[in-house]
Amino acid sequence: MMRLRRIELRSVGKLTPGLRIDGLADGINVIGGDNEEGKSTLLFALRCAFFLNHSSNGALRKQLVPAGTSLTPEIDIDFETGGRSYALAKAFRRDGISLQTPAAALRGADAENELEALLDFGDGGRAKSRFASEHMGLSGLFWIDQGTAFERARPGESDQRRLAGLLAAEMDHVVSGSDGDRLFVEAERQHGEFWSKSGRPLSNGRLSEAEQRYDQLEETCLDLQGRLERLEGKLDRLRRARAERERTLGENRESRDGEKLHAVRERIEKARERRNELALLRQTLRVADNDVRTLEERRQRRAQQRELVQELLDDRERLEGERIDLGRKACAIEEAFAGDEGLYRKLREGLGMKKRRLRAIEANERRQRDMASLDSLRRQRDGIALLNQRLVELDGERRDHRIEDKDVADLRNAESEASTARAALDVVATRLVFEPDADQRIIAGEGEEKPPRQPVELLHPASFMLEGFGRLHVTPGSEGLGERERRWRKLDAILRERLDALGVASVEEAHEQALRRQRIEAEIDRIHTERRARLGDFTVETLEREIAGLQAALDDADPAGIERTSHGEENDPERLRVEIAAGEEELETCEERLRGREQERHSAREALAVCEAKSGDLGTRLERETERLNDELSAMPDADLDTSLGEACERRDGTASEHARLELALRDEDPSLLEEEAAHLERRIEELAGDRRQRERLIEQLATEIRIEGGEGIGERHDNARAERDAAERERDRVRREAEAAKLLYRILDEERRRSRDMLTEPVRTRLERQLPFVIPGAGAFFDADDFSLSEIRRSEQPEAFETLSIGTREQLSIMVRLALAELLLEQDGEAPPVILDDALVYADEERFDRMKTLLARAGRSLQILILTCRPRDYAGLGKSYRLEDCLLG
Amino acid sequence: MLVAGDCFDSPFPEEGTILKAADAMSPFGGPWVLLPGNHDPAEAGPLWDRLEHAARNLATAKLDLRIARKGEPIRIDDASLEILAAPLRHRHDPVDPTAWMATSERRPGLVRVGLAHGSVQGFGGDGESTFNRIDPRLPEMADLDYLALGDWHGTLGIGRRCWYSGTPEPDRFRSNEPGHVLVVEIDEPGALPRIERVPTAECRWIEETLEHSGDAGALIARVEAILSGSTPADRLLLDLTLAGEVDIGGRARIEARIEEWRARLCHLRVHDGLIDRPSDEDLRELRLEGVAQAAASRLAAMAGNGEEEDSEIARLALRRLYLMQHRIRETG
Repeated sequence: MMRLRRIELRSVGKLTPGLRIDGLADGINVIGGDNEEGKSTLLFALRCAFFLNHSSNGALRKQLVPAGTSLTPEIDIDFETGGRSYALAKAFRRDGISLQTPAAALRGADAENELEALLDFGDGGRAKSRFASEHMGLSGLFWIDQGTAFERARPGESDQRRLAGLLAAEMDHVVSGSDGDRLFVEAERQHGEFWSKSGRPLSNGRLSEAEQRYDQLEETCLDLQGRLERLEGKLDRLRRARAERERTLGENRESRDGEKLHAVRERIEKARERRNELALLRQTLRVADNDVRTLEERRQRRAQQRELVQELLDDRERLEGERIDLGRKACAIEEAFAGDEGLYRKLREGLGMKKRRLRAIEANERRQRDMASLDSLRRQRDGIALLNQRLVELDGERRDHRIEDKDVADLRNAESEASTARAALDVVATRLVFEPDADQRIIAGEGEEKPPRQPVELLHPASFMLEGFGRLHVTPGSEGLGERERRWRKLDAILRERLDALGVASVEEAHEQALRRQRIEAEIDRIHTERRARLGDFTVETLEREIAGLQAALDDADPAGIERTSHGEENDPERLRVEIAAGEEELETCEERLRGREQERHSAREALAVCEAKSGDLGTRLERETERLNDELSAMPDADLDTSLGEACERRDGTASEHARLELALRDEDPSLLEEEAAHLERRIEELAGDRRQRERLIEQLATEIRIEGGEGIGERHDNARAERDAAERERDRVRREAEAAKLLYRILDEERRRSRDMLTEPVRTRLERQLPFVIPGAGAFFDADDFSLSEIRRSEQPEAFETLSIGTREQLSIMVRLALAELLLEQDGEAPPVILDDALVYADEERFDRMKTLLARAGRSLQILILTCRPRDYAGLGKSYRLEDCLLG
Repeated sequence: MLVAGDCFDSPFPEEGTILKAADAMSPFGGPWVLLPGNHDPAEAGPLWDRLEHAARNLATAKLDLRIARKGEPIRIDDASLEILAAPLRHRHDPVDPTAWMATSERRPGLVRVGLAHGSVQGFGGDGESTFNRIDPRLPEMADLDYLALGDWHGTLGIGRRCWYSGTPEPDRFRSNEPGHVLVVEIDEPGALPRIERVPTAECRWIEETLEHSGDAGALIARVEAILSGSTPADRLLLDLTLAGEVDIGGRARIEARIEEWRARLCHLRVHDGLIDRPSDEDLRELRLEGVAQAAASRLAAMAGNGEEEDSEIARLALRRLYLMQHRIRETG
């Protein structure tokens, strides 16, 4: 175990001029000092003494030099390690070091080298501008600066190795040794040839390369196979095309169809000739047939003509008989008509005389009635004229009395409102009642005498002269008097204004006038009613027109008629009317009979005329038809006609027979069908030729393509590519297995390595787990095997990362880890650096602080511990105690 | 020189292959009669045109090349010989290409030889094929003095007048006596042919299966014995199948030799059926400690107990560990 025995500083920082601490004990040494007194400087000086080269001129040395001076810092330290004592004297200048060892007194570089070997910090070299873990060996882990105790205690790499070596030795377990490390590094390297750190195939790794090569060759293979298949497909097409060509050549369909076409065309030519011949025959037949038909028609017409002439002769004879009968009948009818006509004229003349007489009587009677009506109407017109005149007069009176009931009602309302306003004024008016004891007079201001005991209302200031009393001035002052007076005056003015407008002095006068107007209007209504009754259905105008009309009718009456009837005694109108009615009936009967006679006479005359006309027409026609028949017979006698007809029939039948024969022959050689067949053959020949040309082109094209593509050696290249692909596939599978093997080996080695490291940290963890619950009840530690640091604790099975703990807990854990490591080092190595705590445990609560002091006390049994503190009383009784101020030199 | 089909393996060979073929044929001054077979049928593109073109343009010699593109007699005047060739027009020809021979009139005074390619009915061949079948009675039916057949790669006699010559150079590992040509002598029309088998193979194709019986040295010695035979190693094509179980040390030795053999041989194909079984000796030899020892033990257990694929991976991992450790030991 390394122990510090004496520390002496000169010209070091704020501890100038110097400090000496002597007789440091094996266990706990508490060095107390106030803030800024130099505790941290002491720790810094210790580091510089051991780990800063004496000839260093860097920042660390400058930090050591007292501020504002150029003094050379000097540090002397007596210490023991490995059971031997050493005295180090280091002044930070050239050759400023001496190390007294049990064997020799060393200076300069020898002394530095010896120091380096003793403290085992050679890996990192000497510090220059700052102290890092590699500059201080394991001491760096156990010397804790002020304010850093809560940081995670994490040894440097070399310290980890040293710790691991020590721990492995303790467990008697070979971790991996140098071979193991190399194996792992090699396994990692081989793993890295195939896989990324995340375990995926490396994009440029051997496995990916093998897979890519296989994929490329597979693609090439497929490409060549496709090309080969296409080429073989073309070959197959070429073979089929050639076979088709041979087959079609063998069939010789084109030539055969050509021959067929030629034969069809010959048949068409023949058919055309026959068709022309047939057309000619058809024309001849048509002429012959026409001749026969003409002759037959002629013979038929001739027979018909004969029949017609005979019929006309018969009709003429029958018509002559009819004409004679009709003539007789017409004469008889003429005679009867003449008799009836005379009777009719006689009846009509008698009846006319009676009618004239009756009209004259009726006209006289009508004149009498019209004259009476005219008088009545004239009287009616005069009465109405009187009524009209009265209406005009009444209307004038009504205009003079213009006040109506509503005007009176308005006036009464205005009067009522004015009275109400006046009453309201009277209520507030000042009322004076003079009651003189005697007959003293009361004279108003304007000289008017007021009767006694009669109230006088005052609306305005007034003065009165009271006899025997003197003058009395009264000023009315009731509330609202002025307003009420203004309202009354306004309403009163409105009332006056309305009375003036109606031209009356009072409301009663207006009322009288309104009553008068009502009486006038009632009279007007009565006259209107009477007038309407007198007019009846007439208006004045229609009445006038009626009078004028009657007058005109009277003026136009025939005076002669009136005269004749006035002197005939037998002219009884009723008797005349009866006689006229009987006469008209008789006349009507006669007239009817006469019309019947007239109809008969007319019919008889018409029938006779028709019969005569028919007879004339028939005669004319008979002559014409007879002449036509004679002309026909003279042109060709019957015997000649029969002979011609027989010859024509014979000619027609012969031609028809020849035509039928040719038609039968042409039915099997229909030119249109033959043309159709020829066209079909031509199309087929053209198609065959087209197919042939297309096939030849295809053959030529395929042969060319095959010649070109076949020359590229696709088949052989495909075989080679397939072989390469198969080899690449085998290689890929092999590499895949190799990659999996490399992965497996790396994984197994890694797992074993971790397991081994876990086993290595077991001693530290065991120590910690003993101490931890003492300070933090229920807590367990997880010690990281990778860097020998406490990474988390567990409370109630819940992990808590170191960084998430409170500063106080972290500080306590860090100190516990360091104490455990130091104890372990001491046990295994026999050596452990002193533990130096600069103002540590400042964040601990009282209970934790006491427990940590217990742990420190137990650790102090085997370790030297220097506690630099500003509260030395807290550590009272824990170990040897120093006060910094007591240790200062000079 | 009659070639009974399949001069070329593919109807679309590369130009170099055609030129090499023409060049190989050129030393023989007599006529070559080439029959298109199922691998190089008559209507398989421009192959035969290209060969004829190559033959015409040979700089060194004139090649008398006659390609039997159609089923018709070919007259060889100098030899009073008439060849009745039955070329295959397509890879699979359902029509018997030899059918016409029976109806072909024999010309007097000429030796009459048939040349055909395909499987003889009821014999060998691909068996599954219904194409390109040849009636074994064809020599009698077509009055042939001899029927030269191709398609079968081994040398084989079907009758007194009918033979497969086989391929002049083996091209696969199948052992059916390839690598010959037949010299056929016929004294006169109707005479029985005299047939001589002449070996022509330059390369040997050897299929070998070796069982590892615990001694890698013995296995290596057996392969070495093959390599030291009469045929030079660079003309040997070896198809080597390895079987049995081998320890890691033996595996490493064998693998080291395989790479050496591959360099020496014309061709080496190895079917590695060896199963790695790490022995105690392997583990002792490794002198592993700590982590490495633990890892080796786990891998050995996995190699012995896992699924087949996992076991193989574990064996490979163990082999890697072994080789890594060896290298580390060797390099210090």
